[in-house]
Amino acid sequence: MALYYKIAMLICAGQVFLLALVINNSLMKRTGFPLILNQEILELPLGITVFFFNILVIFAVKNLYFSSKEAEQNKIDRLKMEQLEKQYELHRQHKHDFKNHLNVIAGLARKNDHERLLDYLSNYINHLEKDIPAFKTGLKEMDILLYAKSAEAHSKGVEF
Amino acid sequence: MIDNLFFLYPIGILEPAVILFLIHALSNQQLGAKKILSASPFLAALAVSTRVFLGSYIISIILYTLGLIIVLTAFRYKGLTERITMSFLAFSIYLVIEFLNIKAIEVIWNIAPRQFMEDPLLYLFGFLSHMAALVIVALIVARFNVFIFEEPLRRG
Repeated sequence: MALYYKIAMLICAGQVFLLALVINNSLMKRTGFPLILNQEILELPLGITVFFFNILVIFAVKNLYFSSKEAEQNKIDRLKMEQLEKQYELHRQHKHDFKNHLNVIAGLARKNDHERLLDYLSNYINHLEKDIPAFKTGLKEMDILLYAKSAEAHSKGVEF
Repeated sequence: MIDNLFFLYPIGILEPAVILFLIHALSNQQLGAKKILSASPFLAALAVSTRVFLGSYIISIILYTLGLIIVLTAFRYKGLTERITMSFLAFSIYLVIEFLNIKAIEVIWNIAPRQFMEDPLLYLFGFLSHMAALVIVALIVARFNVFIFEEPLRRG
């Protein structure tokens, strides 16, 4: 477990322990607990220690808050990286497919087979219209995420 | 004034057993019954002798806490930070319940705290009710899985 958390728990536990000790010590005077030593000599350093721990708790909680914020940011950055990797993979696939289509078009153009060329281009344009739409939400990360998820759904035959 | 070792020690063995049970409940059951029962006589001897001979509540509790940390070290219970934290937590709960117990008896039965130290039966009554309250707290803590140093299991 994170070191910050362990230290914060130790400081909080120490603070509660010392406070409870101070309160119970006052109560024990009333119970007639056998007292031989001069209690005031102990109570002053104990009180100073309690005050010190109370200040430390503030810093511990503050550090915990910033640590959790950093962890959350790291999580978001990791998700962005995963989506970028998926986007790159999709781009690579599309580039490969587009190259194949261009090869077919070039082949048909070389043979002067204009009818088949026109049919092929017409089919390709229809296919592009039915293909995954581009998203423009205003947030690039959201666009990438939606595109990646819709591509995944499309590949599994699910309407998105 | 109750300062008879032969009276305090036999009943005092229950106290460290209950405190160790509380640590057992706070820490995902890392301590077994064997360890609890083996450490109790040693801690009871430490607690009773410091209370009777030192004459300082603060020092006796601090030495008791140190004794508990030593026992947890002997049991190789997690790391040093965890041992100290669990000892502080267990003793905090112990101290707060001791305070509430004495206050509740004072309010409900109008028994002055000083009478606890003068009457053995009252002392025994106060002690046993304190231990019973600690056991109930430990059972509640175990029921709600308050594992201070364990990450919660993720489902799925």
